[in-house]
Amino acid sequence: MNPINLIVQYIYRSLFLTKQTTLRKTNLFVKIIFIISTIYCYVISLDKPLLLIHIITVLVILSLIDRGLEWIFSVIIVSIIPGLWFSLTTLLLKLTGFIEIDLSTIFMIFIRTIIVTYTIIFCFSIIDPVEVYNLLIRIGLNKYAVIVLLIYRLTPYGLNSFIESLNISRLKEEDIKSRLAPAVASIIETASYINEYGYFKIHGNPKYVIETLLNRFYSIVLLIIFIINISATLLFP
Amino acid sequence: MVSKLSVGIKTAGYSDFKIENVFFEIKPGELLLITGRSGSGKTTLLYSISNLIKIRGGFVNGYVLYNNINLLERDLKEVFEKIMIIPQEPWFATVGYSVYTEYCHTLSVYGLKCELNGLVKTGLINNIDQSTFTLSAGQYQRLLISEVFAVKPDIILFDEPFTYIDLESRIDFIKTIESFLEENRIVIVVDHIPSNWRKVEPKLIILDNGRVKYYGHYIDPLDEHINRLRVKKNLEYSDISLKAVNIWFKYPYEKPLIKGVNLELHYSEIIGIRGGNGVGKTTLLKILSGIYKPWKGFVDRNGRAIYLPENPLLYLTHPTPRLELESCSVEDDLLREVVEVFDLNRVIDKPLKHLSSGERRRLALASCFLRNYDLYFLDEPSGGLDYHSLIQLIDMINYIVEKKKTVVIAHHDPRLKNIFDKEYLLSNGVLVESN
Repeated sequence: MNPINLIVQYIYRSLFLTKQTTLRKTNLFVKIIFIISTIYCYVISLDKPLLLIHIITVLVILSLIDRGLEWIFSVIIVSIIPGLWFSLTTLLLKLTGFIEIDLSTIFMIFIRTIIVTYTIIFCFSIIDPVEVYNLLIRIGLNKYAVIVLLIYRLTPYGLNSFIESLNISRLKEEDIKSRLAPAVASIIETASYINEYGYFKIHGNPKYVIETLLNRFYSIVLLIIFIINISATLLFP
Repeated sequence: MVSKLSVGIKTAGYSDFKIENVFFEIKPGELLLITGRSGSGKTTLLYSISNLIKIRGGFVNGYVLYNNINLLERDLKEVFEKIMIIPQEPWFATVGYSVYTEYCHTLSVYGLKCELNGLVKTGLINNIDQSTFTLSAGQYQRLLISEVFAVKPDIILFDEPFTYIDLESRIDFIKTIESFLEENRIVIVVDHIPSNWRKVEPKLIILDNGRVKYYGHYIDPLDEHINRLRVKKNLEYSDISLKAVNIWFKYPYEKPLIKGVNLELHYSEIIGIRGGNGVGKTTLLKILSGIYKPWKGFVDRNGRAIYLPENPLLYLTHPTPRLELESCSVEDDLLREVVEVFDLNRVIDKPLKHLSSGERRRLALASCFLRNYDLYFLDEPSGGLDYHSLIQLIDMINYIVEKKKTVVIAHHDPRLKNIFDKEYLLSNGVLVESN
């Protein structure tokens, strides 16, 4: 399997193969304060590096409970890509004499980028699109609410078409570049059919919010982690 | 209160094709079946009735009278408050990313609060958290029917509803249609196999090249074609082309889908793999062709393999049939012969986006053949094909196996049963030879 195909597969698994996990069903307010506290920890970690270990430990434990090892592995693979990009380009600038930086700092750039990417993917994966949909209806933007559903409906389809097209390129012994057009053509065609057959669903205005079932236990877990995060920023040296 | 529907289409269509003089009436509780060969205008008629043709850049002149209102003169949103259309590919009519969001959003757009009764009636209540992306075709169809149950539109249009659903689900589907008719709804179905609907005794329209060839009570107009379906020539089997031993496969976060499959294929063999929706037929083809690696076990291929997906667009690389076939780097004589055999002369320079699904399939199969593969794994190649196109497809498959190739077809099309040397049933992850 070629590297591009593998990367697309891992992106697909990281972002869209998480089903309706329990963390998605937590209270919106709790989710927001949890995400803010995690970002705050990350910012403070510039002065208190131990906080980095705290953040990644918390996220990995939550991922293990909610998603399992396969998901963690996929997200780490995806996170390594920007990590390598930023650290290697910094190394290149050091070697060519444009900047002066020691190797341990370059290593920290690598680690920090992995952690921040992991955090972004994790936060994205716990957002419940239905909450965003409901929010748009509540603030009177009813006709735009369907866009949220469509993003989550079409993106995995697009990634999967891309994977399928790349897989066939291997059997057809064709250059990967030549497979982009068929994958894109298939996605465009699908979008245009959905616009036709789902015309009323896309252009009609939803009148009611979609009720969501809250998971109280995990909402409390996230609330406790929020408190731990804030405490950690105060207690860690 | 559902009233009768009167349709009078003088002309409707696109710049390169139109239907003419289609007039009919349907009373509440009646089913109208529209049939005819591929390209006869069945779907164009359905699009005209729903006025959806205008979104596609087409035109329609005439009337679609319902409750003394000409629906063709009304805004599409108003039309869709009365009419629901379920397309041949039901996944194109879903906008929600999960069963629950799709169902509740649809009801919300129709001004209804999300009561789950519709999902209970179709048995999808246990799948509400399932991503629509992972639904089988049959489940997609049931999801849309759940919405019909909840919204209760006066008129329901189905385009080739049996294309992607297995035989068992078809019986349930017809029962559902009967329940709609008992509720005095109007149902219009497009199907290229009219005998599917014999039991319901529908009104029938046979279209031929955009014109009405027959309108009246149900008759069996195309049954003579069944006997004309060519069966496979009995060729001598030769060497083993593929051996699969104890194949297991699972997707991330899922239970094993394929469990201990063993299979031995020979050259000049046509093999069928049948099974219900979502049992793993496509996955098995991908494993056998080398796209997926099995979780356990191994596949030993004695030759080059190709997988042809249900959507042939994902196989094709070049923008026209001529460029696609010329990229195979073969001698001109062979190229001409294949263009002839696969009936591609008329469309050789037509852009792919303007080819029908059947034409795309023929092109993809021709391209595979010219690339000289030894094993062909075809996913639902007969979906949506009328008898004429099916006969063409079978001719092409026979042409390929005569050159000592192996063809494996995943399908749930009963019309194909006579062409296989062996047919297997995939059920609960296990493959058993079917009688």
